[in-house]
Amino acid sequence: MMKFLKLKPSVGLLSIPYSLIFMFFFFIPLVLTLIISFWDYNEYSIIPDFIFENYSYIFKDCFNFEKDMCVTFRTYLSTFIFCFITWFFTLIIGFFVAYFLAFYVNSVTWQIDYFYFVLFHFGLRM
Amino acid sequence: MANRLFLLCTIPFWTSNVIRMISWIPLLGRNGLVNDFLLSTGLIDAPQEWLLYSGFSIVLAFVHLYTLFMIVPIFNSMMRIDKSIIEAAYDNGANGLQILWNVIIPLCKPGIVIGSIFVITVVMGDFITIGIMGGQQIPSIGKIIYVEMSYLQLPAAAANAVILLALTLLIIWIMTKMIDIRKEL
Repeated sequence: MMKFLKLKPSVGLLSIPYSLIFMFFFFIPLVLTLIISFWDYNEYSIIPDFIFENYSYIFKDCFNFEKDMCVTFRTYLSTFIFCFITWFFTLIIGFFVAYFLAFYVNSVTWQIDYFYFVLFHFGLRM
Repeated sequence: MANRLFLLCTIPFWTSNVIRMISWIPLLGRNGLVNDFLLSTGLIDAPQEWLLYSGFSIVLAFVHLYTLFMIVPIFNSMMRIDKSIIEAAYDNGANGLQILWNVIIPLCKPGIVIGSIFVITVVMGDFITIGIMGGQQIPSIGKIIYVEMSYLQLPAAAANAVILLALTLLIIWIMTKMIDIRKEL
């Protein structure tokens, strides 16, 4: 087959499809987001520009520590707290479920069935 | 049997994250199942308000939705552990807790880190769960971006998104500095 194709498959060649998907659906949108974050806007349009107002507006009053914490910091704080609590509980539960599956379920068939049961319970949906 | 279980397993694939979130509402609401049960058993006098549209319900929904992202990588790294290592630990006189702490957890570190990365990135950018389970009253970064986009303030939303991305990448960078996934795998 290789001789027939007369193409030596290399890592670079094989990674082209995924690289293209990565470029079009991840990298380019990300770069566009970065570019647009420096644009100006009014009520009905966005204007190509290079300003830092968008960033300075987010951190307005944030480094004035005599007043209460600013909206941005409070929002990030609440998100971080949720993140930490969720991380903690998912780690504890996830670790012990995985421990049960890996070490207490002896036969492979039962292991797979239990694994599907867990999938069912937590309803994986990617 | 396995086929039937497998068929059973495909059912959650028919519903979305949002439906599974919303199904908590009749359970936790003021006249929900939990409150009705607690009232009928006389454990409480009045319906508990903190069950729904609060931090509690948000964390509950997050844990329910995202524990799987933790189970799969940890299970994967546990299955790679050579059983003879555990036997060797037994032979050398370690008890169950010592084996768990000194053998299994260190060998599961890559799985734990990968699972943590999944959970943290998903929770950092989430706005639907916090919106629905928090009754649209509890702030989140995703919500700020969403609101700015709905008012066509796209540059402001983009700036927020860039900051959020940078922070999330920073967290992941710190975690991978602490435990080198590439080396451990």
